Amino acid sequence: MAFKDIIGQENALNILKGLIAKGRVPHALLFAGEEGIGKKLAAINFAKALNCRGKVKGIDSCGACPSCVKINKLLKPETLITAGEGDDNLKEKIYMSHPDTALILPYKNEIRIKIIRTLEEHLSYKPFEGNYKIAIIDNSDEMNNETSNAFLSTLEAPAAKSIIILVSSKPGILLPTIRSRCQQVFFSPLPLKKMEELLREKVKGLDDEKLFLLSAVSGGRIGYAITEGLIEKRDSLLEKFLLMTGNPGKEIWEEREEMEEWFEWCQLWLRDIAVLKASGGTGLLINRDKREEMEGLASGASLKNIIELSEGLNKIKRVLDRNLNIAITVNHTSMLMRKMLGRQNVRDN
Amino acid sequence: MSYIVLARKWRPQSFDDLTGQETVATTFINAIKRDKIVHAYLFSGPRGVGKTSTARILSKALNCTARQEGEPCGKCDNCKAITAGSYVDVFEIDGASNTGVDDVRELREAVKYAPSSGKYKVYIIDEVHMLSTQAFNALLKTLEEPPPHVIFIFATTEPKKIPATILSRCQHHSFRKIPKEKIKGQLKKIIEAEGINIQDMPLDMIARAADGSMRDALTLLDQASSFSENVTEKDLQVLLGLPETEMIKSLSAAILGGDINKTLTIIKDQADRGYDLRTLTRELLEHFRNLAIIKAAEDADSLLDFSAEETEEMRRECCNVGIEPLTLILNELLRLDGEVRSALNPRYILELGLLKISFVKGMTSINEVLKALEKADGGEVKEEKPSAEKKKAEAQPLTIEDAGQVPDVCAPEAGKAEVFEKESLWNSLVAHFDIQDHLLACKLAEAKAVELTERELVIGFNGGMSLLSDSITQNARAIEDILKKLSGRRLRLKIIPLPSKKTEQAQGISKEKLMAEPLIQSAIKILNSSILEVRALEKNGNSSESQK
Repeated sequence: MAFKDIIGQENALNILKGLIAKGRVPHALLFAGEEGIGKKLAAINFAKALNCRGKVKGIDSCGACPSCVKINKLLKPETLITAGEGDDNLKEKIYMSHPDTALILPYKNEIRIKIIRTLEEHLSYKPFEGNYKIAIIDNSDEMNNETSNAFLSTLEAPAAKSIIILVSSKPGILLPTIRSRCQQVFFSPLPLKKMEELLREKVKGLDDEKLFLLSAVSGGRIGYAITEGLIEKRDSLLEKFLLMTGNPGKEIWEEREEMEEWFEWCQLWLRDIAVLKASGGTGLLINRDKREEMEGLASGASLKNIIELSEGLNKIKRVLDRNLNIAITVNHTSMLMRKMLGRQNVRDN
Repeated sequence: MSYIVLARKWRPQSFDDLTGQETVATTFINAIKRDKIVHAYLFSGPRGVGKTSTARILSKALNCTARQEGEPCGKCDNCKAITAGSYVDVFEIDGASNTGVDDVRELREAVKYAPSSGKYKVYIIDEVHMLSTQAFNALLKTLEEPPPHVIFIFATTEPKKIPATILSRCQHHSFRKIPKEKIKGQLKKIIEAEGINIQDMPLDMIARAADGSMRDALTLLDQASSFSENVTEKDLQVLLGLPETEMIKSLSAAILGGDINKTLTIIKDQADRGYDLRTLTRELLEHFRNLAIIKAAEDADSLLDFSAEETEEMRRECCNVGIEPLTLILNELLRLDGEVRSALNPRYILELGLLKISFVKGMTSINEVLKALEKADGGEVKEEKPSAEKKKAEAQPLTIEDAGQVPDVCAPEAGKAEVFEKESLWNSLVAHFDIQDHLLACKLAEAKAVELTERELVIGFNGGMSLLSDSITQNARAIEDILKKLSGRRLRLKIIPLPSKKTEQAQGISKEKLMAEPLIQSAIKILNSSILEVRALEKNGNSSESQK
């Protein structure tokens, strides 16, 4: 594992390599971009390159020296013993497989102030065996208000030889004062072609249509695309979508989570139906393998109604967490769908 | 030694260095010259505008041994020590890490003692908004009347979180965002000194992206200079993660032109190439905001931070569009921006939203319609449409008729039948059931009595409620029994769907029929338009049409 193994992030990697090559690595970086596109992987490899002892050609890590081997273990943090083990007050964990490189993950979706104090202490020592003291904070947008504010002074001027890397898929949530102290590196979703190549390699036995579907549905997030059973999930949720345009019955969704997911996926099909209607061709479809179903759904509806339905479903999705009665939600949603998709004449039996 | 970022390296060291905060700088220089230093200051303002820097400069100026014209010399021991952060009488406290009342008590103890080398003991408390309420309250006494050698300087980005009792004890200086031109000027100075190669255009982009913060600008410049030897516009787009300006322009042209296929193709293209669609949405929103401002405001040039050519280009782009459609698009994009942010995959929402926006193209503003109508024949002001009743008559009674249960002929019981109004009959029925079967009564109450004849009572549900009719049919026999009791006649219950407000009512009037109306024809002629959709008005039953 090294920079060259990270796929589709040329821009971001060029920036990082440039920093190392010119010896201008800033003390605070923010890796921003969608979930599941390799930000943390890049951060760990960046740390490896900075602390590598057997430099190949100055910039990338060798992957073989003791330092690289140690830092590589951060890729599977669950196998590591953490600095906070046994300390009940320190629920968040600092993962360290190399004395100078720390990885911090949120505990129960929160990064609390204690961890930052521990981190500050960690950074205050001189590097033990590497060149830099490095701290990677994953999902850094989950720092709570106190943590963020307390972190500001360290982030502005940490001890010499420290590098803090914040990783976030929602950089907009971070305090502006935090953002302004970091050099932001943007990671972009993977291009379609790269995704298809990568998927072909990682998941065996997919035909072209499925490859296309996965790459398009995941929106360029490889981490999401290789989720197990994604296509099966699509199929079963689409079945439910079709069911909802008829007589769904009460128990259509097994659990709440599935319901939420279903509402999310609806937008995909509505998008396909709307695009079919608007462009008149099948060229822009995402669910290419389900062309017939899509055409069937599109036949009775007007573009305006489809869009209205999409907004309607979105609205329901937003209030789902307010403890809606499931039976009523099913009824209402089904009625809305029948009406908007021109199916009110379909009689129940 | 590790690399020191530009923002730290170029921290202003004298009042003169402070970019964009001339008012504050002048105030302090004069205050120092006239010896009118107060004991507590509060600095507030957005990130990276110079609050902490000013606090440090002020503490230097106060303790400098060779002060000139209110400015610190920067060369004496005191100045040097303060710059290095090692001066014994200047305490920089991180308010976010020392939030408790105990920290404040400690501070109160320490305040008593005289300064060891300088003239003043200066306490700079950064991020002071994070102090707890108790901490703030414990500070009040000291803050009101501190020993004469003590000066407090509070710095915060959120002055709203500071209690009023603290605010009233401090001299409050609010720092403004730094104007783009001033940022650019300072950047120019720095690139010269640092030997950074960067063209004017990307420098402009940095200054704009910094959004009034010097630190943001320097962070960006730092990044740009380590990214490339000769920084170009393209480099900056990569660094900022921005979509290409050309693409935004062609997308907005496609939207304004109502070209659905092109809009969708551009989005597909962007998604295929792996561009962040959330950023794209935000940029598109920004672009349309600029267009709307250009359209709406006469002195748009001064409202927007763009060069004259860019403004001119945007003006050309939107010359054929009215402010109303632009506002509509802007509204829609604003909504989209929020939804796209929380969506699992932003693409679908964005595409559906853009499809919706494409409808805007066909709209004519109300003012134009009114004007055109005024110009038309004065006599034809009122638009008469087929009335709602006519349409009701056209609506077919559908479904729900339990013919088997009711005998075909029910002879009215002679003479004794009171003459009930259909409404009051229905109401008394509902009231009757309210005691017997509340649930059913609620359902019945949703219905409207439409017609009462010798043999039947016709009730109607409007569109959404029609699913209630199922359960009423099940209870038809019971209802009919009660009806007999109440009216003295054998009445059959018949349920019809009422034309709902929007769709079903409108289905009654076909487009052709509308086209045949002379008034509509002339309106179409005048407006050079066509009928998009026929819709019914709620109350008076007149119809309106959306026009294209």
